[in-house]
Amino acid sequence: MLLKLENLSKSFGGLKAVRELNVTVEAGEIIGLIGPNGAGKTTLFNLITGTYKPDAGRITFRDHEITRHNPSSRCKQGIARTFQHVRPFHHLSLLDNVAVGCVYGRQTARSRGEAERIAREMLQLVGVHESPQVHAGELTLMNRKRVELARALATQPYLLLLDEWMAGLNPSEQREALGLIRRLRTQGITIILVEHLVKAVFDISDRVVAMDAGEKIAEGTPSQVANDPKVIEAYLGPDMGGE
Amino acid sequence: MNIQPAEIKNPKSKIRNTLSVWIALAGIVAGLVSIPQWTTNANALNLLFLIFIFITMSQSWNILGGFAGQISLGHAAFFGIGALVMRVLWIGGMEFFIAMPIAGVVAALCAFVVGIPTFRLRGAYFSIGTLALAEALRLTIANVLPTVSTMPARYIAAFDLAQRYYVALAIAVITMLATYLLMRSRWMLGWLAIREDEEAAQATGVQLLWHKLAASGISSFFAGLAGAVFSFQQVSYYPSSVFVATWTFDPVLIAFIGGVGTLIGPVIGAIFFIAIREQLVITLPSLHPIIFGIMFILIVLVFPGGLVDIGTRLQQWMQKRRVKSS
Ligand SMILES: Nc1ncnc2c1ncn2[C@@H]1O[C@H](COP(=O)(O)OP(=O)(O)OP(=O)(O)O)[C@@H](O)[C@H]1O
Ligand SMILES: [Mg+2]
Repeated sequence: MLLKLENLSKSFGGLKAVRELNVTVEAGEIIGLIGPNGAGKTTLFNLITGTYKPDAGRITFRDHEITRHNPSSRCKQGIARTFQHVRPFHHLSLLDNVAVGCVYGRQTARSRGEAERIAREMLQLVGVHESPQVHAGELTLMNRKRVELARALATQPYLLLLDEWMAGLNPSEQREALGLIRRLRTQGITIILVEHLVKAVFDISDRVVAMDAGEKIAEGTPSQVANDPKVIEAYLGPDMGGE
Repeated sequence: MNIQPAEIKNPKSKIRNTLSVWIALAGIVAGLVSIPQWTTNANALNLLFLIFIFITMSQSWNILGGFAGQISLGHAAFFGIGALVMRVLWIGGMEFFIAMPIAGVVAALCAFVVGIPTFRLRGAYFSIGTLALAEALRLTIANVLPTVSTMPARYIAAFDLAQRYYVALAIAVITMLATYLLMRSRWMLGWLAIREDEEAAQATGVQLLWHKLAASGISSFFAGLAGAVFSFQQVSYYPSSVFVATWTFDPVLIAFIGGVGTLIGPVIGAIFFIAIREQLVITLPSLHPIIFGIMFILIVLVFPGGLVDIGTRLQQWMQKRRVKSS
Protein backbone atom coordinates (compact mmCIF):
# COMPACT_ATOMS: atom_id res chain seq x y z
CA MET A 1 0.00 0.00 0.00
CA LEU A 2 1.40 3.35 -1.07
CA LEU A 3 -1.16 5.85 0.18
CA LYS A 4 -3.96 5.54 2.68
CA LEU A 5 -6.51 8.24 3.40
CA GLU A 6 -8.63 7.62 6.48
CA ASN A 7 -11.74 9.62 7.37
CA LEU A 8 -10.27 12.70 5.77
CA SER A 9 -12.34 15.88 6.16
CA LYS A 10 -11.80 19.49 5.16
CA SER A 11 -14.21 22.42 5.43
CA PHE A 12 -14.00 25.98 4.19
CA GLY A 13 -16.17 28.00 6.52
CA GLY A 14 -19.44 26.11 6.50
CA LEU A 15 -18.70 24.30 3.25
CA LYS A 16 -17.62 20.70 3.61
CA ALA A 17 -15.30 20.30 0.63
CA VAL A 18 -14.14 16.80 1.62
CA ARG A 19 -16.10 14.61 4.04
CA GLU A 20 -14.85 11.50 5.85
CA LEU A 21 -13.12 10.19 2.81
CA ASN A 22 -11.43 6.78 2.77
CA VAL A 23 -9.23 5.78 -0.12
CA THR A 24 -6.36 3.34 -0.42
CA VAL A 25 -3.89 3.44 -3.30
CA GLU A 26 -1.60 0.54 -4.19
CA ALA A 27 1.83 1.07 -5.68
CA GLY A 28 1.80 0.99 -9.47
CA GLU A 29 -1.87 1.80 -9.91
CA ILE A 30 -3.46 4.41 -12.10
CA ILE A 31 -6.42 5.81 -10.21
CA GLY A 32 -8.99 7.98 -11.93
CA LEU A 33 -10.70 10.54 -9.72
CA ILE A 34 -13.94 11.91 -11.17
CA GLY A 35 -16.77 14.09 -9.97
CA PRO A 36 -18.72 17.16 -11.01
CA ASN A 37 -17.40 20.71 -10.54
CA GLY A 38 -16.93 21.51 -6.88
CA ALA A 39 -16.97 17.85 -5.85
CA GLY A 40 -13.75 18.33 -3.87
CA LYS A 41 -11.21 16.68 -6.18
CA THR A 42 -8.67 19.50 -6.12
CA THR A 43 -9.19 19.93 -2.38
CA LEU A 44 -8.37 16.25 -1.94
CA PHE A 45 -5.16 16.75 -3.94
CA ASN A 46 -4.30 19.73 -1.76
CA LEU A 47 -4.76 17.54 1.31
CA ILE A 48 -2.54 14.82 -0.10
CA THR A 49 0.23 17.30 -1.03
CA GLY A 50 -0.07 19.22 2.23
CA THR A 51 -1.20 22.54 0.78
CA TYR A 52 -4.17 22.20 3.14
CA LYS A 53 -4.14 20.45 6.49
CA PRO A 54 -7.23 18.27 7.11
CA ASP A 55 -9.68 19.14 9.88
CA ALA A 56 -9.86 15.46 10.75
CA GLY A 57 -8.50 12.16 9.51
CA ARG A 58 -5.15 10.61 8.73
CA ILE A 59 -2.85 10.36 5.73
CA THR A 60 -0.32 7.55 5.53
CA PHE A 61 2.26 7.42 2.77
CA ARG A 62 4.68 4.51 2.44
CA ASP A 63 3.97 3.44 6.03
CA HIS A 64 4.63 6.87 7.51
CA GLU A 65 1.97 9.17 8.82
CA ILE A 66 2.30 12.49 6.99
CA THR A 67 -0.96 14.18 8.02
CA ARG A 68 0.84 17.24 9.45
CA HIS A 69 3.86 17.33 7.15
CA ASN A 70 4.33 20.43 5.03
CA PRO A 71 4.26 20.31 1.21
CA SER A 72 8.02 20.51 0.67
CA SER A 73 8.62 17.60 3.01
CA ARG A 74 5.96 15.53 1.23
CA CYS A 75 7.59 16.29 -2.10
CA LYS A 76 10.90 15.05 -0.72
CA GLN A 77 9.13 11.89 0.41
CA GLY A 78 7.92 11.29 -3.13
CA ILE A 79 4.62 13.07 -3.75
CA ALA A 80 4.52 15.36 -6.78
CA ARG A 81 1.72 17.21 -8.52
CA THR A 82 0.64 19.39 -11.36
CA PHE A 83 -1.84 22.22 -10.84
CA GLN A 84 -5.31 22.47 -12.35
CA HIS A 85 -4.48 26.03 -13.41
CA VAL A 86 -1.02 25.43 -14.80
CA ARG A 87 1.70 27.08 -12.72
CA PRO A 88 5.17 26.88 -14.23
CA PHE A 89 7.74 29.44 -13.04
CA HIS A 90 6.97 32.00 -15.73
CA HIS A 91 10.13 34.10 -15.76
CA LEU A 92 12.52 31.17 -15.51
CA SER A 93 13.97 29.20 -18.37
CA LEU A 94 12.54 25.75 -19.07
CA LEU A 95 15.83 24.32 -17.85
CA ASP A 96 15.62 26.15 -14.53
CA ASN A 97 11.95 25.28 -14.12
CA VAL A 98 12.71 21.59 -14.23
CA ALA A 99 16.09 21.85 -12.47
CA VAL A 100 14.26 23.08 -9.36
CA GLY A 101 12.65 19.65 -9.17
CA CYS A 102 16.01 17.92 -9.61
CA VAL A 103 17.58 19.91 -6.77
CA TYR A 104 14.76 19.87 -4.22
CA GLY A 105 12.88 16.67 -4.88
CA ARG A 106 13.24 13.17 -3.50
CA GLN A 107 16.63 12.84 -5.15
CA THR A 108 18.98 15.78 -4.76
CA ALA A 109 21.16 16.67 -7.71
CA ARG A 110 24.66 17.35 -6.43
CA SER A 111 25.32 20.32 -8.67
CA ARG A 112 23.57 22.73 -11.01
CA GLY A 113 25.24 20.89 -13.88
CA GLU A 114 23.81 17.53 -12.85
CA ALA A 115 20.40 19.10 -12.25
CA GLU A 116 20.46 20.62 -15.73
CA ARG A 117 21.44 17.34 -17.34
CA ILE A 118 18.50 15.54 -15.71
CA ALA A 119 16.23 18.47 -16.53
CA ARG A 120 17.07 18.13 -20.22
CA GLU A 121 16.16 14.44 -20.10
CA MET A 122 12.85 15.23 -18.43
CA LEU A 123 12.00 17.87 -21.02
CA GLN A 124 12.69 15.29 -23.73
CA LEU A 125 10.58 12.70 -21.93
CA VAL A 126 7.50 14.93 -21.80
CA GLY A 127 8.02 16.05 -25.40
CA VAL A 128 9.08 19.69 -25.08
CA HIS A 129 11.14 20.56 -28.12
CA GLU A 130 11.56 24.29 -27.47
CA SER A 131 14.99 25.65 -26.59
CA PRO A 132 15.59 24.98 -22.88
CA GLN A 133 16.62 28.63 -22.50
CA VAL A 134 13.18 29.97 -23.40
CA HIS A 135 11.10 31.32 -20.52
CA ALA A 136 8.16 29.15 -19.49
CA GLY A 137 5.80 32.13 -19.76
CA GLU A 138 6.34 32.25 -23.51
CA LEU A 139 5.09 28.72 -24.17
CA THR A 140 1.74 27.49 -25.44
CA LEU A 141 -0.65 26.01 -22.89
CA MET A 142 0.22 22.47 -23.92
CA ASN A 143 3.93 23.08 -23.52
CA ARG A 144 3.43 24.82 -20.19
CA LYS A 145 1.59 21.74 -18.99
CA ARG A 146 4.42 19.58 -20.24
CA VAL A 147 7.02 21.68 -18.44
CA GLU A 148 5.01 21.52 -15.24
CA LEU A 149 4.87 17.74 -15.59
CA ALA A 150 8.61 17.59 -16.26
CA ARG A 151 9.18 19.62 -13.10
CA ALA A 152 7.04 17.19 -11.11
CA LEU A 153 8.80 14.18 -12.63
CA ALA A 154 12.19 15.71 -11.89
CA THR A 155 11.45 15.32 -8.18
CA GLN A 156 11.49 11.52 -8.78
CA PRO A 157 8.08 10.89 -7.23
CA TYR A 158 6.54 7.61 -6.14
CA LEU A 159 3.10 9.20 -6.43
CA LEU A 160 2.09 11.70 -9.09
CA LEU A 161 -1.12 13.73 -8.87
CA LEU A 162 -2.37 15.09 -12.19
CA ASP A 163 -5.15 17.67 -11.83
CA GLU A 164 -6.95 18.01 -15.18
CA TRP A 165 -3.68 17.71 -16.98
CA MET A 166 -5.45 16.86 -20.23
CA ALA A 167 -8.00 19.69 -20.10
CA GLY A 168 -7.66 21.99 -23.08
CA LEU A 169 -5.73 19.51 -25.21
CA ASN A 170 -6.96 18.54 -28.67
CA PRO A 171 -7.75 14.86 -29.40
CA SER A 172 -4.34 13.99 -30.80
CA GLU A 173 -2.60 15.70 -27.86
CA GLN A 174 -4.88 13.77 -25.53
CA ARG A 175 -3.84 10.48 -27.12
CA GLU A 176 -0.24 11.50 -26.72
CA ALA A 177 -0.86 12.40 -23.06
CA LEU A 178 -2.47 9.03 -22.35
CA GLY A 179 0.53 7.29 -23.89
CA LEU A 180 2.85 9.32 -21.71
CA ILE A 181 0.90 8.51 -18.55
CA ARG A 182 1.04 4.80 -19.35
CA ARG A 183 4.76 5.06 -19.92
CA LEU A 184 5.25 6.76 -16.55
CA ARG A 185 3.43 3.91 -14.88
CA THR A 186 5.75 1.38 -16.45
CA GLN A 187 8.58 3.33 -14.83
CA GLY A 188 7.03 2.58 -11.46
CA ILE A 189 5.18 5.82 -10.80
CA THR A 190 1.75 5.56 -9.20
CA ILE A 191 -0.69 8.05 -10.64
CA ILE A 192 -3.92 9.64 -9.48
CA LEU A 193 -5.54 11.67 -12.20
CA VAL A 194 -8.45 14.03 -12.11
CA GLU A 195 -10.12 14.56 -15.48
CA HIS A 196 -13.46 15.66 -16.77
CA LEU A 197 -12.89 13.58 -19.90
CA VAL A 198 -14.73 10.57 -18.55
CA LYS A 199 -13.94 8.32 -21.47
CA ALA A 200 -10.22 8.92 -21.19
CA VAL A 201 -10.30 8.28 -17.44
CA PHE A 202 -12.18 5.01 -17.84
CA ASP A 203 -9.79 3.99 -20.60
CA ILE A 204 -6.61 4.44 -18.69
CA SER A 205 -7.47 3.82 -15.02
CA ASP A 206 -7.13 0.56 -13.14
CA ARG A 207 -9.56 1.87 -10.58
CA VAL A 208 -11.89 4.86 -10.48
CA VAL A 209 -13.03 6.84 -7.47
CA ALA A 210 -16.09 9.05 -7.91
CA MET A 211 -16.78 12.01 -5.64
CA ASP A 212 -19.75 14.28 -5.22
CA ALA A 213 -20.20 17.11 -2.71
CA GLY A 214 -17.06 16.07 -0.85
CA GLU A 215 -18.04 12.44 -0.45
CA LYS A 216 -16.86 9.29 -2.13
CA ILE A 217 -19.94 7.94 -3.88
CA ALA A 218 -18.38 5.04 -5.76
CA GLU A 219 -15.15 3.15 -6.16
CA GLY A 220 -14.17 0.22 -8.32
CA THR A 221 -13.13 -0.84 -11.78
CA PRO A 222 -14.03 1.61 -14.55
CA SER A 223 -16.98 -0.49 -15.67
CA GLN A 224 -18.32 -0.86 -12.10
CA VAL A 225 -18.15 2.90 -11.56
CA ALA A 226 -19.53 3.70 -15.00
CA ASN A 227 -22.64 1.62 -14.24
CA ASP A 228 -23.10 2.81 -10.66
CA PRO A 229 -26.52 4.51 -10.38
CA LYS A 230 -25.18 7.12 -7.95
CA VAL A 231 -22.45 8.10 -10.38
CA ILE A 232 -24.84 8.26 -13.29
CA GLU A 233 -27.12 10.49 -11.28
CA ALA A 234 -24.49 12.76 -9.76
CA TYR A 235 -21.96 13.00 -12.50
CA LEU A 236 -23.08 11.71 -15.80
CA GLY A 237 -26.63 12.97 -15.39
CA PRO A 238 -27.18 16.71 -15.32
CA ASP A 239 -23.52 17.76 -15.55
CA MET A 240 -22.27 15.59 -18.37
CA GLY A 241 -20.11 18.06 -20.21
CA GLY A 242 -17.85 19.26 -17.46
CA GLU A 243 -15.28 21.87 -18.45
CA MET B 1 5.26 44.75 -6.87
CA ASN B 2 5.78 42.75 -9.99
CA ILE B 3 9.42 42.09 -10.60
CA GLN B 4 10.45 40.85 -13.98
CA PRO B 5 14.03 39.86 -14.46
CA ALA B 6 15.66 41.09 -17.61
CA GLU B 7 17.40 38.10 -19.04
CA ILE B 8 18.73 37.49 -22.45
CA LYS B 9 16.83 34.89 -24.38
CA ASN B 10 19.22 33.78 -27.05
CA PRO B 11 21.66 31.25 -25.49
CA LYS B 12 24.57 32.08 -27.78
CA SER B 13 24.36 35.80 -27.27
CA LYS B 14 23.96 35.08 -23.56
CA ILE B 15 27.27 33.28 -23.37
CA ARG B 16 28.96 35.95 -25.44
CA ASN B 17 27.41 38.64 -23.27
CA THR B 18 28.46 37.09 -19.97
CA LEU B 19 31.98 36.70 -21.31
CA SER B 20 32.27 40.26 -22.52
CA VAL B 21 30.72 41.51 -19.29
CA TRP B 22 33.39 39.68 -17.31
CA ILE B 23 36.25 40.90 -19.46
CA ALA B 24 34.90 44.43 -19.23
CA LEU B 25 34.49 44.08 -15.46
CA ALA B 26 38.03 42.81 -14.97
CA GLY B 27 39.31 45.74 -17.04
CA ILE B 28 37.22 48.21 -15.08
CA VAL B 29 38.40 46.81 -11.74
CA ALA B 30 42.03 47.01 -12.86
CA GLY B 31 41.42 50.59 -13.96
CA LEU B 32 39.74 51.44 -10.66
CA VAL B 33 42.62 49.95 -8.68
CA SER B 34 45.05 52.23 -10.49
CA ILE B 35 43.07 55.45 -10.03
CA PRO B 36 44.54 56.48 -6.63
CA GLN B 37 47.99 56.09 -8.18
CA TRP B 38 47.48 58.95 -10.58
CA THR B 39 45.05 61.23 -8.77
CA THR B 40 44.61 62.48 -5.22
CA ASN B 41 41.54 64.49 -6.17
CA ALA B 42 39.39 63.96 -3.08
CA ASN B 43 36.14 64.75 -4.90
CA ALA B 44 36.71 62.10 -7.53
CA LEU B 45 37.75 59.47 -4.99
CA ASN B 46 34.79 60.27 -2.74
CA LEU B 47 32.39 60.01 -5.65
CA LEU B 48 33.74 56.61 -6.64
CA PHE B 49 33.66 55.60 -2.98
CA LEU B 50 29.93 56.42 -2.91
CA ILE B 51 29.34 54.44 -6.08
CA PHE B 52 31.02 51.39 -4.50
CA ILE B 53 28.84 51.74 -1.40
CA PHE B 54 25.72 51.99 -3.53
CA ILE B 55 26.71 49.01 -5.66
CA THR B 56 27.09 46.96 -2.49
CA MET B 57 23.83 48.18 -0.99
CA SER B 58 21.85 47.80 -4.17
CA GLN B 59 23.20 44.33 -4.88
CA SER B 60 22.43 43.40 -1.29
CA TRP B 61 18.82 44.46 -1.78
CA ASN B 62 18.78 42.73 -5.16
CA ILE B 63 19.85 39.35 -3.71
CA LEU B 64 16.83 39.39 -1.45
CA GLY B 65 14.30 41.31 -3.55
CA GLY B 66 15.39 40.66 -7.12
CA PHE B 67 16.25 36.98 -6.84
CA ALA B 68 14.37 35.64 -3.82
CA GLY B 69 11.41 38.00 -4.31
CA GLN B 70 11.30 39.17 -0.69
CA ILE B 71 10.94 42.94 -0.66
CA SER B 72 12.83 44.68 2.12
CA LEU B 73 11.52 48.17 2.78
CA GLY B 74 13.99 48.72 5.60
CA HIS B 75 17.42 47.93 4.26
CA ALA B 76 18.61 51.07 6.05
CA ALA B 77 18.26 49.05 9.28
CA PHE B 78 20.98 46.62 8.21
CA PHE B 79 23.18 49.36 6.76
CA GLY B 80 22.80 51.36 9.97
CA ILE B 81 23.49 48.39 12.24
CA GLY B 82 26.64 47.64 10.26
CA ALA B 83 27.73 51.27 10.53
CA LEU B 84 27.06 51.40 14.27
CA VAL B 85 28.78 48.13 15.13
CA MET B 86 31.79 49.04 12.99
CA ARG B 87 32.11 52.49 14.56
CA VAL B 88 31.92 51.18 18.12
CA LEU B 89 34.37 48.31 17.58
CA TRP B 90 36.84 50.17 15.40
CA ILE B 91 37.00 53.31 17.53
CA GLY B 92 37.14 50.96 20.49
CA GLY B 93 40.49 49.77 19.12
CA MET B 94 39.68 46.74 16.97
CA GLU B 95 41.37 46.33 13.58
CA PHE B 96 38.98 47.54 10.88
CA PHE B 97 39.22 44.35 8.85
CA ILE B 98 38.08 42.32 11.87
CA ALA B 99 35.36 44.76 12.91
CA MET B 100 33.90 44.87 9.40
CA PRO B 101 32.82 41.22 9.06
CA ILE B 102 31.49 41.34 12.62
CA ALA B 103 29.34 44.33 11.59
CA GLY B 104 28.03 42.27 8.67
CA VAL B 105 27.22 39.30 10.89
CA VAL B 106 25.35 41.44 13.41
CA ALA B 107 23.30 42.93 10.56
CA ALA B 108 22.50 39.41 9.34
CA LEU B 109 21.37 38.41 12.84
CA CYS B 110 19.01 41.41 12.85
CA ALA B 111 17.55 40.15 9.59
CA PHE B 112 16.76 36.83 11.28
CA VAL B 113 15.03 38.70 14.09
CA VAL B 114 12.61 40.26 11.56
CA GLY B 115 12.51 37.25 9.27
CA ILE B 116 11.76 34.41 11.66
CA PRO B 117 8.36 35.75 12.78
CA THR B 118 7.34 37.43 9.50
CA PHE B 119 8.39 34.86 6.91
CA ARG B 120 5.96 32.35 8.38
CA LEU B 121 3.09 34.63 7.43
CA ARG B 122 1.87 35.14 3.91
CA GLY B 123 1.85 38.58 2.38
CA ALA B 124 3.76 41.78 3.03
CA TYR B 125 4.68 41.13 6.67
CA PHE B 126 8.40 40.94 6.03
CA SER B 127 8.34 44.21 4.09
CA ILE B 128 6.43 45.92 6.87
CA GLY B 129 8.65 44.32 9.50
CA THR B 130 11.84 45.65 7.92
CA LEU B 131 10.28 49.09 7.48
CA ALA B 132 9.27 49.11 11.15
CA LEU B 133 12.70 47.90 12.26
CA ALA B 134 14.48 50.68 10.37
CA GLU B 135 12.22 53.38 11.78
CA ALA B 136 12.36 51.99 15.32
CA LEU B 137 16.15 51.87 15.16
CA ARG B 138 16.39 55.37 13.72
CA LEU B 139 14.23 56.84 16.51
CA THR B 140 15.94 54.83 19.23
CA ILE B 141 19.44 55.74 18.07
CA ALA B 142 18.42 59.40 17.73
CA ASN B 143 17.40 59.31 21.41
CA VAL B 144 20.22 57.23 22.79
CA LEU B 145 23.04 58.73 20.70
CA PRO B 146 21.85 62.25 19.89
CA THR B 147 25.28 63.81 19.38
CA VAL B 148 27.57 63.72 16.37
CA SER B 149 30.00 60.81 16.26
CA THR B 150 33.44 62.15 15.37
CA MET B 151 36.60 60.16 14.82
CA PRO B 152 39.24 60.60 17.54
CA ALA B 153 41.98 63.08 16.58
CA ARG B 154 44.66 60.47 16.00
CA TYR B 155 42.30 58.58 13.64
CA ILE B 156 41.74 61.79 11.70
CA ALA B 157 45.48 62.42 11.58
CA ALA B 158 46.01 58.92 10.18
CA PHE B 159 43.08 59.16 7.76
CA ASP B 160 44.00 57.94 4.28
CA LEU B 161 41.35 58.46 1.63
CA ALA B 162 42.99 56.04 -0.80
CA GLN B 163 42.77 53.27 1.81
CA ARG B 164 39.03 53.96 2.27
CA TYR B 165 38.65 53.91 -1.48
CA TYR B 166 40.31 50.49 -1.73
CA VAL B 167 38.27 49.04 1.10
CA ALA B 168 35.01 50.18 -0.52
CA LEU B 169 36.15 48.84 -3.89
CA ALA B 170 37.09 45.50 -2.35
CA ILE B 171 33.72 45.16 -0.60
CA ALA B 172 31.86 45.99 -3.81
CA VAL B 173 33.90 43.45 -5.77
CA ILE B 174 33.37 40.80 -3.08
CA THR B 175 29.62 41.47 -3.14
CA MET B 176 29.56 41.14 -6.92
CA LEU B 177 31.55 37.91 -6.87
CA ALA B 178 29.38 36.47 -4.13
CA THR B 179 26.27 37.32 -6.12
CA TYR B 180 27.75 35.72 -9.20
CA LEU B 181 28.51 32.52 -7.28
CA LEU B 182 25.06 32.54 -5.70
CA MET B 183 23.49 32.82 -9.15
CA ARG B 184 25.22 29.61 -10.16
CA SER B 185 24.36 27.81 -6.91
CA ARG B 186 21.56 25.35 -6.30
CA TRP B 187 20.08 27.67 -3.66
CA MET B 188 19.44 30.25 -6.36
CA LEU B 189 16.98 27.87 -8.03
CA GLY B 190 15.01 27.71 -4.80
CA TRP B 191 15.04 31.49 -4.43
CA LEU B 192 13.90 32.07 -7.99
CA ALA B 193 11.17 29.45 -7.57
CA ILE B 194 9.93 31.20 -4.43
CA ARG B 195 9.95 34.56 -6.20
CA GLU B 196 7.91 33.10 -9.05
CA ASP B 197 5.33 31.08 -7.14
CA GLU B 198 5.59 30.09 -3.48
CA GLU B 199 2.99 27.34 -3.65
CA ALA B 200 4.48 25.71 -6.73
CA ALA B 201 7.96 26.05 -5.20
CA GLN B 202 6.82 24.25 -2.05
CA ALA B 203 5.14 21.55 -4.10
CA THR B 204 8.51 21.06 -5.81
CA GLY B 205 10.26 20.56 -2.47
CA VAL B 206 11.58 24.06 -1.70
CA GLN B 207 11.46 24.89 2.02
CA LEU B 208 10.21 28.45 2.16
CA LEU B 209 11.34 29.57 5.59
CA TRP B 210 14.96 28.42 5.32
CA HIS B 211 15.39 29.83 1.86
CA LYS B 212 13.95 33.19 2.79
CA LEU B 213 16.04 33.36 5.95
CA ALA B 214 19.20 32.49 4.04
CA ALA B 215 18.48 35.15 1.41
CA SER B 216 17.76 37.82 4.00
CA GLY B 217 20.81 36.84 6.09
CA ILE B 218 23.21 36.96 3.14
CA SER B 219 21.65 40.15 1.84
CA SER B 220 21.84 41.87 5.23
CA PHE B 221 25.41 40.74 5.73
CA PHE B 222 26.42 42.75 2.66
CA ALA B 223 24.24 45.69 3.70
CA GLY B 224 26.04 45.60 7.05
CA LEU B 225 29.40 45.61 5.27
CA ALA B 226 28.33 48.63 3.24
CA GLY B 227 27.36 50.43 6.44
CA ALA B 228 30.67 49.44 8.01
CA VAL B 229 32.64 50.89 5.09
CA PHE B 230 30.61 54.07 5.29
CA SER B 231 31.27 54.61 9.00
CA PHE B 232 34.93 53.72 8.45
CA GLN B 233 35.14 56.64 6.03
CA GLN B 234 32.99 59.34 7.64
CA VAL B 235 34.94 61.68 9.87
CA SER B 236 31.78 62.76 11.66
CA TYR B 237 28.08 61.99 11.29
CA TYR B 238 24.94 61.66 13.37
CA PRO B 239 24.54 58.00 14.36
CA SER B 240 20.83 58.08 13.48
CA SER B 241 21.50 59.41 9.96
CA VAL B 242 22.59 55.99 8.66
CA PHE B 243 19.14 54.64 9.52
CA VAL B 244 17.14 57.13 7.43
CA ALA B 245 14.89 55.78 4.69
CA THR B 246 17.04 57.10 1.84
CA TRP B 247 19.52 54.32 2.67
CA THR B 248 16.71 51.95 1.78
CA PHE B 249 15.13 53.69 -1.18
CA ASP B 250 18.22 54.85 -3.05
CA PRO B 251 19.49 51.24 -3.35
CA VAL B 252 16.01 50.09 -4.42
CA LEU B 253 15.87 52.83 -7.03
CA ILE B 254 19.35 51.89 -8.24
CA ALA B 255 18.37 48.24 -8.59
CA PHE B 256 15.34 49.22 -10.64
CA ILE B 257 17.25 51.69 -12.81
CA GLY B 258 19.91 49.10 -13.57
CA GLY B 259 17.76 46.00 -13.75
CA VAL B 260 16.20 44.00 -10.90
CA GLY B 261 17.23 40.37 -10.68
CA THR B 262 20.36 40.80 -12.80
CA LEU B 263 24.00 40.68 -11.76
CA ILE B 264 25.14 43.83 -13.48
CA GLY B 265 22.04 45.96 -12.92
CA PRO B 266 23.12 47.41 -9.55
CA VAL B 267 26.48 48.49 -11.03
CA ILE B 268 24.95 50.30 -13.98
CA GLY B 269 22.22 51.70 -11.76
CA ALA B 270 24.69 53.00 -9.16
CA ILE B 271 26.86 54.78 -11.73
CA PHE B 272 23.83 56.29 -13.43
CA PHE B 273 22.27 57.30 -10.12
CA ILE B 274 25.36 59.00 -8.69
CA ALA B 275 26.15 60.74 -11.98
CA ILE B 276 22.62 62.15 -12.28
CA ARG B 277 22.39 63.01 -8.61
CA GLU B 278 25.64 64.97 -8.66
CA GLN B 279 24.38 66.96 -11.63
CA LEU B 280 21.00 67.62 -10.02
CA VAL B 281 22.46 68.60 -6.67
CA ILE B 282 24.35 71.36 -8.46
CA THR B 283 21.62 72.52 -10.84
CA LEU B 284 18.33 71.75 -9.06
CA PRO B 285 19.21 71.07 -5.42
CA SER B 286 15.70 70.96 -3.98
CA LEU B 287 14.09 69.06 -6.83
CA HIS B 288 16.24 65.97 -7.11
CA PRO B 289 14.15 63.69 -4.83
CA ILE B 290 11.09 64.47 -6.94
CA ILE B 291 12.95 63.86 -10.17
CA PHE B 292 14.17 60.49 -8.87
CA GLY B 293 10.66 59.65 -7.75
CA ILE B 294 9.28 60.30 -11.21
CA MET B 295 12.15 58.39 -12.78
CA PHE B 296 11.41 55.41 -10.54
CA ILE B 297 7.74 55.33 -11.54
CA LEU B 298 8.62 55.66 -15.23
CA ILE B 299 11.12 52.83 -15.07
CA VAL B 300 8.78 50.49 -13.22
CA LEU B 301 5.94 51.22 -15.65
CA VAL B 302 7.76 51.50 -18.95
CA PHE B 303 11.06 49.65 -18.54
CA PRO B 304 10.61 47.11 -15.74
CA GLY B 305 13.83 45.43 -16.86
CA GLY B 306 15.87 48.60 -16.32
CA LEU B 307 18.90 49.78 -18.28
CA VAL B 308 20.27 46.26 -18.67
CA ASP B 309 17.11 45.23 -20.47
CA ILE B 310 17.10 48.33 -22.65
CA GLY B 311 20.71 47.56 -23.56
CA THR B 312 20.06 43.97 -24.57
CA ARG B 313 16.99 44.96 -26.55
CA LEU B 314 18.99 47.55 -28.43
CA GLN B 315 21.68 44.97 -29.09
CA GLN B 316 19.14 42.44 -30.39
CA TRP B 317 17.54 45.10 -32.55
CA MET B 318 20.92 46.01 -34.05
CA GLN B 319 21.75 42.35 -34.66
CA LYS B 320 18.47 41.91 -36.51
CA ARG B 321 19.21 44.93 -38.65
CA ARG B 322 22.67 43.64 -39.43
CA VAL B 323 21.22 40.26 -40.42
CA LYS B 324 18.67 41.98 -42.63
CA SER B 325 21.16 44.21 -44.41
CA SER B 326 23.66 41.42 -45.05
N1 LIG C 1 -9.36 27.71 -0.68
C1 LIG C 1 -10.68 27.59 -0.68
N2 LIG C 1 -11.44 28.43 0.05
C2 LIG C 1 -12.78 28.32 0.07
N3 LIG C 1 -13.46 27.40 -0.61
C3 LIG C 1 -12.78 26.54 -1.36
C4 LIG C 1 -11.35 26.59 -1.43
N4 LIG C 1 -10.93 25.59 -2.26
C5 LIG C 1 -12.02 24.97 -2.68
N5 LIG C 1 -13.14 25.53 -2.14
C6 LIG C 1 -14.51 25.07 -2.36
O1 LIG C 1 -14.55 23.69 -2.08
C7 LIG C 1 -15.39 23.02 -3.02
C8 LIG C 1 -14.59 21.95 -3.70
O2 LIG C 1 -13.68 22.60 -4.58
P1 LIG C 1 -12.62 21.81 -5.43
O3 LIG C 1 -11.79 22.83 -6.11
O4 LIG C 1 -11.93 20.82 -4.58
O5 LIG C 1 -13.55 21.08 -6.47
P2 LIG C 1 -13.15 20.25 -7.76
O6 LIG C 1 -13.80 18.93 -7.60
O7 LIG C 1 -11.71 20.28 -7.98
O8 LIG C 1 -13.92 21.07 -8.89
P3 LIG C 1 -13.49 21.40 -10.40
O9 LIG C 1 -13.89 20.22 -11.20
O10 LIG C 1 -14.29 22.60 -10.74
O11 LIG C 1 -12.04 21.66 -10.40
C9 LIG C 1 -15.94 24.08 -3.95
O12 LIG C 1 -17.21 24.45 -3.52
C10 LIG C 1 -14.96 25.21 -3.79
O13 LIG C 1 -15.59 26.45 -4.00
MG1 LIG D 1 -10.46 20.98 -9.41
